[in-house]
Amino acid sequence: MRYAMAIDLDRCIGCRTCAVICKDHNAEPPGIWWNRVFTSGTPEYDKVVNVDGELRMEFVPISCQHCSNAPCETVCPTQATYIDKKTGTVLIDYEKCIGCRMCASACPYGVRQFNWGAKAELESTNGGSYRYGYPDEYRDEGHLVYTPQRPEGVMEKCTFCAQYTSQGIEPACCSGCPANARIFGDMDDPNSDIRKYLEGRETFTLGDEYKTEPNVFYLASKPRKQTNIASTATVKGGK
Amino acid sequence: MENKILSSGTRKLMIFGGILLLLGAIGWGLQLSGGLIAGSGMTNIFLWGLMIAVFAFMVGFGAGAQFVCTAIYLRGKDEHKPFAQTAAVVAFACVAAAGVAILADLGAIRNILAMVLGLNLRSPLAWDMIAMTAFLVFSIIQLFAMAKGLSNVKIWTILAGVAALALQVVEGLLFSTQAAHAWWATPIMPVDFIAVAFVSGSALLLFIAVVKNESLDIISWLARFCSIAICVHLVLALGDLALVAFSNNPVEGGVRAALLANLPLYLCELVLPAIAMVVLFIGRNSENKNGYLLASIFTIVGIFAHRMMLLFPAYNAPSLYLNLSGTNSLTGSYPISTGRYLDWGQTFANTTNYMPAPAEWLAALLPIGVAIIAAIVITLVVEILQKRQAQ
Repeated sequence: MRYAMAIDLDRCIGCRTCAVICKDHNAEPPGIWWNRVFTSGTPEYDKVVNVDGELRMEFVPISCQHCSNAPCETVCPTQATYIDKKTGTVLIDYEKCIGCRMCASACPYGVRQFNWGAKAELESTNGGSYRYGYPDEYRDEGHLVYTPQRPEGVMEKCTFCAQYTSQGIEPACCSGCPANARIFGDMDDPNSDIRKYLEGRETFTLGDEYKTEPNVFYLASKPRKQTNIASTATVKGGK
Repeated sequence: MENKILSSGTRKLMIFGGILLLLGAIGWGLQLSGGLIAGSGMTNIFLWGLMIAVFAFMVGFGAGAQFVCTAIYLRGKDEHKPFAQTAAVVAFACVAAAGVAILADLGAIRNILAMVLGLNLRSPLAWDMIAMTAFLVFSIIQLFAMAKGLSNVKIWTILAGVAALALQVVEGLLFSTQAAHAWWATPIMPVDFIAVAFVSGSALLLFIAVVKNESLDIISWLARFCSIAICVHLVLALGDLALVAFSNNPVEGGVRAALLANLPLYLCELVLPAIAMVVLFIGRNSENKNGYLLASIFTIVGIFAHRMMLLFPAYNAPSLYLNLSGTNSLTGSYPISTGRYLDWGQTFANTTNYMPAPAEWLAALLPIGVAIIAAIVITLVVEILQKRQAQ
């Protein structure tokens, strides 16, 4: 089995629901984002870029690419970061991570998030605090890979929602995407949703120059012609 | 006075080292109490900071001091051998201090047992630990052989020298194998780590030799040693610069921007050792020791700047650039979550300005204090053993 995700950029509307639902379901502390969406071509969000005189706007969601040749896994000195043999997912055992941050340094995608000392807790309106996230910890054959009690000083990142996928439920970002831009499944199963979706379609992966063999596949957005009504409208009394 | 174990100067140095150690421990404690490195200027973009620079700085001193020690034994000049013992002590103390620095930089030292039980031999960091431990073992045996006046000291100095070389190669590989950072991912990096160790070790020992009023013979030899090492290092550093200067790749463009943004520090790295090299070369047989002292200080400051400049152009040069999908139009770098929203209100960024936080500056004193105390204690132990041997 090899879990993978397809992200269809033609469907992504840049609502960032995936980022928020990921944060909520995975008890990501304030300031930590496992999943992020930016507009290609600008550090600002929601801006267009000019390509050969045509305006284009494209949203690109990026989270862990779950690489088959993951540099983060190679450099981890304690094997806290490992590739789950059953699913091919790159996971982190919070009880083995020593917080050296070498994995994040080696990752070209900037998807690893170090917990610098923030708890997954928010102030509530009555002056108290409240917690969020899937309420039970999840262990993969003994490895602590999800816990709502966020351990400080360790690395964290997308797990393809291991606490859900282990129960046969798809990752939160897929179920939460209003445009169905994310398709999850087993690349080794020809009948899986992802294999069916990708059949006959051209995909690309990010950061090919780093030879990481990602398991997140992107489908390119296509340029669309739109007539600017304002520019062609005839204004009464105009010259 | 003669019966006292420590001389007045050594006692003062011990107190100074103790103060540094205490202040360092307070700084580290502050970081831990604030939520594991919370009291730092690092981010998820700028992942390693002052402590890692100090680590590389100290390990360079250690390995370099060992190179000097081994070179003295290989040259076979008996009158230089007492100074080789000083070099061996400095080597052990500095590498031990580097080990402390890396431990103090860990976010979750509570899980350190995993470093033994789950060691990943594909990781350069694992080999770093192995090389460091091997060096410390050979180094301590070498010191014991010196203290006991054993006939096989030369063999141990050679083995310790080889371990120091391996340590520097591993340090270099630790950085150069990270393809995500163009500033590091060059074949020059491991070679330059060796050159920098030669520079650091000889400069520190030159400083010590002048302060201890060693013979002009050993001072001149160290001056020559240091000036040649600086020359080699500068050639390699300029080679590194050339690799990024003439590339059209946007990643290298980011490196150039980071170099320009930190130009004063980068110039310190290049200019100060260059001045020291000229001073040492011109005045290599001079009896005026101030020149040697100034040159060694310039070199040490320059190498510290070099260690800091390992980080800025690496972390502040984004590694992921996107094309507008389906086109060849390169659109720019992709922002990263800083992880420090609660501290600075900045959630996403391409680069973050790194300035060590007060707790980081304090904590960085810890390994320096350890080095000073370790050097004094080891010297004392070696001297006691030598006195017993002589009786």
